[in-house]
Amino acid sequence: MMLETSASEQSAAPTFRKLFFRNKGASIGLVIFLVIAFLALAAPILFPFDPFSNVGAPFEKPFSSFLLGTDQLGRDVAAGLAHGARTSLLLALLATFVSLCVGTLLGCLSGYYGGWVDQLLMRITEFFQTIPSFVFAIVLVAIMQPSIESIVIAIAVVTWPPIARLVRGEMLTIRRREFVEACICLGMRDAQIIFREILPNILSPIIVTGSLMVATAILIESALAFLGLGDPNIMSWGFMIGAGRSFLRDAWWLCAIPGLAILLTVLSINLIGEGLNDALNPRLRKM
Amino acid sequence: MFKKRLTYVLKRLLHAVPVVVGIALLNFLLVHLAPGNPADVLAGEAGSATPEYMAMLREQFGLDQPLYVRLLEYMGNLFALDLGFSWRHNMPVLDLILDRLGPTLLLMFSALFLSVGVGILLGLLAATQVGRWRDSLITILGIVSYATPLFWVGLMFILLFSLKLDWLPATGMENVIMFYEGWDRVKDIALHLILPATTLSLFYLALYTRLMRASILEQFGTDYVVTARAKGVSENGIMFKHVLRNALLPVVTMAGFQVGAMLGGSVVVEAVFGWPGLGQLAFQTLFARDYNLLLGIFFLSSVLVVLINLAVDLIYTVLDPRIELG
Repeated sequence: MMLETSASEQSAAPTFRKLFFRNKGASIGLVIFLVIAFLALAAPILFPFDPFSNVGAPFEKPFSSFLLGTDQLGRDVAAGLAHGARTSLLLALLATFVSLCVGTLLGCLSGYYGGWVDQLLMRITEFFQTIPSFVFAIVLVAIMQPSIESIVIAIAVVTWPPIARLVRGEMLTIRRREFVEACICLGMRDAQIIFREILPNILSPIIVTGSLMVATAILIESALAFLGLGDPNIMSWGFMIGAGRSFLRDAWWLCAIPGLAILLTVLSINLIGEGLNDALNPRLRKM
Repeated sequence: MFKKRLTYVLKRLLHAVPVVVGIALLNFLLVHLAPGNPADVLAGEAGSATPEYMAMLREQFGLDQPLYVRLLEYMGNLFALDLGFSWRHNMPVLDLILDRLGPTLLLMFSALFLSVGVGILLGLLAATQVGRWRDSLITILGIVSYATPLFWVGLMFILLFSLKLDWLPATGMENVIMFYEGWDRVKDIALHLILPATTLSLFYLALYTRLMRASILEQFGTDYVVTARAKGVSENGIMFKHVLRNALLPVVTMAGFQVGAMLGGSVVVEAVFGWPGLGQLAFQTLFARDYNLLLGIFFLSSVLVVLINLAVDLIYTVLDPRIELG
């Protein structure tokens, strides 16, 4: 209530920032995420060596000569963690971007044109939702050979359907609005109407869903890497856990630390997503 | 009524056919997407397969034939459930998969019942105390388990309950060297099942708790609850006689359609716990590069999901007679 009154002094509607930060979880999430993003960006400066290189004796405990200890081959866990943050965020953002593009495009076509286009595209979407997505991702990466590209493609292929459905639904409601009819009367081309006139109106739910998809993508990526389907040339959290699992009894931190990193990252992104939802979709906000 | 239901069943069956054909088509595409020709791919990395086997594969895939002939033959084989031969295991793929299907189904359904049951309970507990500490605690637990990688939880469970506390077995489905019979064997398998089933259910537990809570709150806003209150029905009466039944429907639907996702989760969980199911088989193919087996698992698990979705649909029409059978 206090916030409401102070907000109304400045402008009629509470600003994006105020709405976002009113959600306590979102603020905490943003702080955690910024720390992880900093770690990811600063990894080459903080640890200017190959995270796969042996820098010390194997199985050093955390807080000894190395901040987070070393693994079975004497690799610095902290360096792996920082470089792994880079990998996770990079792959997840790329995959989400591809998935958003595909899902939005198909959803737009389906919702705007309706009829057989809609029928066909929705059948395809349903199909992709039916097949067990993680098994599909495994098959795709295994067959294309693990690499950054194949992992991004696999994650995008299994995550686009919800976006397509969301965009289609929004498109269907906006398609009947008067301004769209006005655009048609003006003789605008379909592509112009879809991307310049309608799409900006449905951007908020796409952004919210997209932010949550980054979290899903990180979970898929780490699970793939854990199963040995990560790009062999880049360090990742899932790989660290997979490599450390044989030494669970004596060196449990090798698994525990990267797992916590995944947990915190995914958690922070989910919290941010909820905050974005509060700020961008005032209709759906619980008061 | 019976006739109507029968036509509905047939209609749903017909609906499932294009999906299964699509899965077969996708499998065919995947074989061709792989680097090298399909015979090399299916034989695994060169070196393990004998020239005779390669010749047999080439013949089987008719690599000299045009693409559509190959496609038709491939589809024909799939629908005859001839999924090819696994060179690594020296067994037909279908036999291998059927061997492993039981443990996977056991794990999946245990996790399903666990997550639905506990999820409904927690959702109920949270919804009766909205905004109080119990609700907040359940919500926070939900958010955290929603963000936790399954394979990591599994490893941490092993660390805590097997390695440190020594309460539960860490790997496998049963203690084979003990040669348990009858109830002893059931008990042994149940003990082995606890950790993997709990791990697999955790993510879905969070999902169903959230859904159940929202669903109950939504029901409490409806007219029939107001009517019941006006009649003087107690709050407990409203909850258990009226609201609960209606609130269950979305959870049951969701649970049915999450089966596919759960199958994916079970790959990771089986890989962690050495559970001898389809997931572990798939995990092993990754190292052996046994693509034929991997694709066979993919095909059959997809078909399995289609069948389970179909079953859920049918059960649902029995549960909720309002659903139109049109």
